[in-house]
Amino acid sequence: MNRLYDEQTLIERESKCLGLSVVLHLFILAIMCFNFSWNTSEFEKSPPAILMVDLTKVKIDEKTNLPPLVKETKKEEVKAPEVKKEEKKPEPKKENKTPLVKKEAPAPKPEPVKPIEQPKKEAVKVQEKKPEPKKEVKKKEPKKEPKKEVKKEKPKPKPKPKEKPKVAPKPVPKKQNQGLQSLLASVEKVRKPANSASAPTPSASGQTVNKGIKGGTEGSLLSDLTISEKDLIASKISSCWNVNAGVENADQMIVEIRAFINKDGSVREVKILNMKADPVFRSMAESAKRAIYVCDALKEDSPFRILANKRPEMYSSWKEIYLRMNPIDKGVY
Amino acid sequence: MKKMLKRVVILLMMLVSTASFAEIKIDVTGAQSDPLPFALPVFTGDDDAKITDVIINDLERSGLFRYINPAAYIQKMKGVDMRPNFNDWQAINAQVLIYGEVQESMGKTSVSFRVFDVFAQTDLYSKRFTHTSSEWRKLAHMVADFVYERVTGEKGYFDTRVAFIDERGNQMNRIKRLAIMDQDGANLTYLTDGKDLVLTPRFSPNMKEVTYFSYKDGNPKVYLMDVNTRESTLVGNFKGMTFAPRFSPDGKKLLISLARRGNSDIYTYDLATKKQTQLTNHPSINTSPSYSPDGKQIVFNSDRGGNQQLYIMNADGSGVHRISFGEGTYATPVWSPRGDYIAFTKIRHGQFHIGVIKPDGSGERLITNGFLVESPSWAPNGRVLMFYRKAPSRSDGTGGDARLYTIDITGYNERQLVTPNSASAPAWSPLLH
Repeated sequence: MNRLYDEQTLIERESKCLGLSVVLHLFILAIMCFNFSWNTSEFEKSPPAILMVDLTKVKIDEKTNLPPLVKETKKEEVKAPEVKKEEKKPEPKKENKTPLVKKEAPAPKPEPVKPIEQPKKEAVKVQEKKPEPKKEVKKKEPKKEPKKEVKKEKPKPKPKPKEKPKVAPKPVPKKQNQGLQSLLASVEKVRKPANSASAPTPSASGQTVNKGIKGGTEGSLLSDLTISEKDLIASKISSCWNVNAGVENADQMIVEIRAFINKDGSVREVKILNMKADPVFRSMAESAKRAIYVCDALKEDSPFRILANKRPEMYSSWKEIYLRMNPIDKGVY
Repeated sequence: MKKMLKRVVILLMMLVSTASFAEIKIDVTGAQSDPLPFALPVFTGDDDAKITDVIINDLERSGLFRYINPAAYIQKMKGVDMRPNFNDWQAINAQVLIYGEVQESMGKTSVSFRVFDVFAQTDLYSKRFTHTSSEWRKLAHMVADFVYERVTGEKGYFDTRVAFIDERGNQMNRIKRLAIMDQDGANLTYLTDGKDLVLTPRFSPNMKEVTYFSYKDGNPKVYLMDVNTRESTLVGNFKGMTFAPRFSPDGKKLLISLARRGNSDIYTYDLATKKQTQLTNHPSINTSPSYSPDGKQIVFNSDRGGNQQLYIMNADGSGVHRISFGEGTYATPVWSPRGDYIAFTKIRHGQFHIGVIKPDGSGERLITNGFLVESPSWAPNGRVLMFYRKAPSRSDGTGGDARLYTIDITGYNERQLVTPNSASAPAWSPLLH
């Protein structure tokens, strides 16, 4: 009986599947009939759509290839999470994750409350905001801020006093990491000069905005000059570089150079990184090295002096410049 | 806890390292190709500055160097051991500084010299040469060659000679003599007396001999002359010889073109065994063969495709393929000693052109043109070509003198070589030292 029953159900299923496949095939055929035109002449006749873009009105910022834009307000950082804590207490596991984020953050006492913050999405935001609290720590004494926040928090937890103890155990790992925080703080101090351009800048409205760009996916604000600044340096060096014309396989010769620059923009040393035994390449490499010194001799017009004048705060970035020099500008030569 | 601390320390170190070793990376593409400004104070001991002048002239003629007027020099150099004050030379934008001293004793002249990169403040080269005093020009050319090589990375070509046909007299009674001189026009000597018509001289790779084509005894034959003794020997009595032969790179064979039964073909002639080997066998004109510097290939011109074009074949005559496809007709191909280009003469729209093309047929460039420009010959470093140019003195295209010119393969720096008479068919020797 069971076998018969099974066979019947199998037959039923097969017929259902068959029906489904027929329906699907018909559906596909219908789509092909209606959507695919077999008259290719129509394609030929229809002219391609032309998008007119007026590039004259396009403004290019002096810095491109930036990381994503992150905007935050100080209020959001401190107060908003507190409100959310009360609303979304039930997720204890996430709370455990967030404290890790806050470990790096400077404010020690308010943190116990933050873990109760919003779900996953907001947790990501908090991670992005890490650098901001760090700055606050440096500028303001951390102990004072937490006290104020604690005072504010006190009235809120009143309706749910039982939850407080749940939050309280979380600060324990923070205490363990207090040493780490001081280490991280020292790292921040080291990084500060190089990162000054990348660090979020507080605006007058109290908003902190990093200098990223909407839709930015990569790039870095760390230790980099703008493209136009790099172009300026490249074109200046190119004009200082004199090679004899007609060198065999010159287009395949790339000289790698590292220039060591003093703080005042003068050249301290130039090293050829990929010297070869071939005398023609050696001559080319030496001419590239000479070009750096020739540029240096331009004094105020030297690209490195220009850097020293315009970007003194980024000295740590341009004190060593790595140059890949190819004598052939394929567009011109 | 310890693990955590370790991790944090590693993280810390990474952060610190990225912060402290951050450097800017910049791509520089393109450079200038101006003559390199150089300073060359008169060598100490070169009282009449004759050696200094030859060096300056050589470097300037190359087109790759520009001499800075000595009136601008701030530091006075005395002796080869004196340390230059680089700031003084940078101030006048001298990128290369050459100075030295000359000493003469017992009929011999010694030249010591040093080359400095002024801006990098480095000593590039120093050397001492000694030669018989009568050959002081050779000494100067050698200095110029070494400076050129050290600064450009390419071999020099100043200590070389040029064989050519000296022509004088009217068109009806033209006297043609085989002549030889230094590449700068000095030390001109005549190798033949002008009684017999001579054509197309070629240097042997050992530089001691010159082959030429002569109508001595009324029949065109190939002769080999020892440049020092001026003794001529008949190379071979080839019937139907069309043009002068060229040596193989090892100097053991000659490439010749013989006309038989209405068409010409290319042969090799072994100088030791006197054996002829036919390389082409085609019912068309095949002439002007020239070996590649490695001796593995031969470029020649042929009209087998309808009009005269350039072809390359293997040294044994196999693998013939066409490399030129341009408008006009191509003639007298010569493979560069560097191997990267083949120079040729091209006739198009009633004008003659000298051009270069890569052995694979790409990169054809015409570097000069005129009413008649012919016989390109390579400098031993493959950077410079010599040819002759003739402009008619009459409207019917007759008359006028032919003159020798040099030009850089870039098409710049065309310069005339001063000769006392009309001069044609130049052949540049290999480097003499």
